[in-house]
Amino acid sequence: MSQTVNRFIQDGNGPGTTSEQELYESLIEENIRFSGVEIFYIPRTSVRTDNIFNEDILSSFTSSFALEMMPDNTSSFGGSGLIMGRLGLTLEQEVILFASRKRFVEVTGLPYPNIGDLLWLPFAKKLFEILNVDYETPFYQVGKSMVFGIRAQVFDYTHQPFTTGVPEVDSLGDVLENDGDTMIDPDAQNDAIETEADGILDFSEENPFGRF
Amino acid sequence: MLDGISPYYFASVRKTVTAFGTLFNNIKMARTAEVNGAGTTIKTIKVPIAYAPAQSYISWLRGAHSISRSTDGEAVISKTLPRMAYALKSMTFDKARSLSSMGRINNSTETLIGSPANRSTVKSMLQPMPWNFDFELLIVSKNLDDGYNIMEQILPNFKPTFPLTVNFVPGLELKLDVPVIFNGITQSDNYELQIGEKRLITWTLDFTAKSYIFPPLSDVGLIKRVINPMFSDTDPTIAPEPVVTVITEVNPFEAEINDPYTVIQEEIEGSGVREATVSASGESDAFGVSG
Repeated sequence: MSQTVNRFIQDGNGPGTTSEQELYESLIEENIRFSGVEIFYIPRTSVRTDNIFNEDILSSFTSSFALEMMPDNTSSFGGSGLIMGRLGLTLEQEVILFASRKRFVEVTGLPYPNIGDLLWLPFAKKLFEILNVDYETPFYQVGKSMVFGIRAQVFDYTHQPFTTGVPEVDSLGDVLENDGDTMIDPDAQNDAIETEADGILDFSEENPFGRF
Repeated sequence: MLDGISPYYFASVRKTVTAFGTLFNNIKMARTAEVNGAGTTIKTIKVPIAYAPAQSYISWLRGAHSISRSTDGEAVISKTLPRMAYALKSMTFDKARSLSSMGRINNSTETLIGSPANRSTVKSMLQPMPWNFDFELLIVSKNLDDGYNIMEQILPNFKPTFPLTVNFVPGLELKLDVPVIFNGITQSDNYELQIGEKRLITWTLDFTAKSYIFPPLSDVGLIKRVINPMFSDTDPTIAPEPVVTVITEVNPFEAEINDPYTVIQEEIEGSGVREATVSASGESDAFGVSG
């Protein structure tokens, strides 16, 4: 056996014994329950994987799990906030949330949070997409990693179906859909452009993309 | 120097911007059960488009991130993808298309809005100034397949030009073709960014619309008489006087644009100054010729 660490104090996997780790983990869990917020974890279901472009554009979201998490920053969201760009005004906020590993596994049945899954923050009415999961910060206190640090940014909706059981999320398609001829996207100007063009374009010319 | 002209505005830039936008305002893309566009169509999406420059408070009030969404109990998101945006980048004078500065465009048949139905003048303007409008069209997507789906519906229609016919000046019936030329495309994809950033793929398509800017309209009298002296030679030293003078005019001469009239023509030998035009009865007199 290696003698590089003091075996009277620890077993070689960092300071702390199993009982100490369990105590520490329960304290973390209690602290998050005490001071955290209720978040809905929404796992992604991959529907059609494109093995050339390495993407799945037919994902669906069919379930959600209420779980307590602790915000890393309790004063504000991170990120750039509102940005005025070529796509108009977009919200580029991010958040880092800590979840107890033990509680996450218990509630979701998943071994860990996945990049691409979503978080619904009911208190802010905002939907976030997980972009990174840090499972080593804090760095193995008392010899064990006990939390997931989940970094997420406000979600870009790409017309996926939602049947998560969270009404605000499931109605995304109702309020932002551009399905077929229906155009209710609040940022879209398709109809305004068409109405304006009706008075100035010579309709004898054929539009290759359909009617003007 | 330019003052003293009554205010006028044909919104030529606005019309060109609108006409360009309407090329792309009805593009739909289908998501299918299998890759390569095969299989059942799962969803058809009409791709939203917007003119990129905007006042921030307008976007604030109607955007997908709007604060009103959260108060209305709707989920706040960042943006909806895929989507398109376009903007007018620059304008340059197109000297190659420039016509004579003295040429005029007249409205002789249509009733101009705001003008009396019957009149002895017509609306007229000097030749429009040809300007090239450089546009960029952005296709923004979260994944490659959506973007290519949209792009492949646009590119085949520009060879590399697609003509639009725009009615620029109401009442003048001035319908001009505005060829829209596709110049090229660039693609940016931030997939190489450190993990922790959202992926955004942008295709930038560059176009040039060969459009026009218009000078003011003015009232000019109707041409009721044309005197056409015809010479036997183009050299005035050989043929100083016309052999015959053809005079064409409206009868009765007082007729306005909507009055009944006929056109009469008379040939007179030599040259001369016309001395009589129309009799009181409306019949054409013989033209007095001197010299």
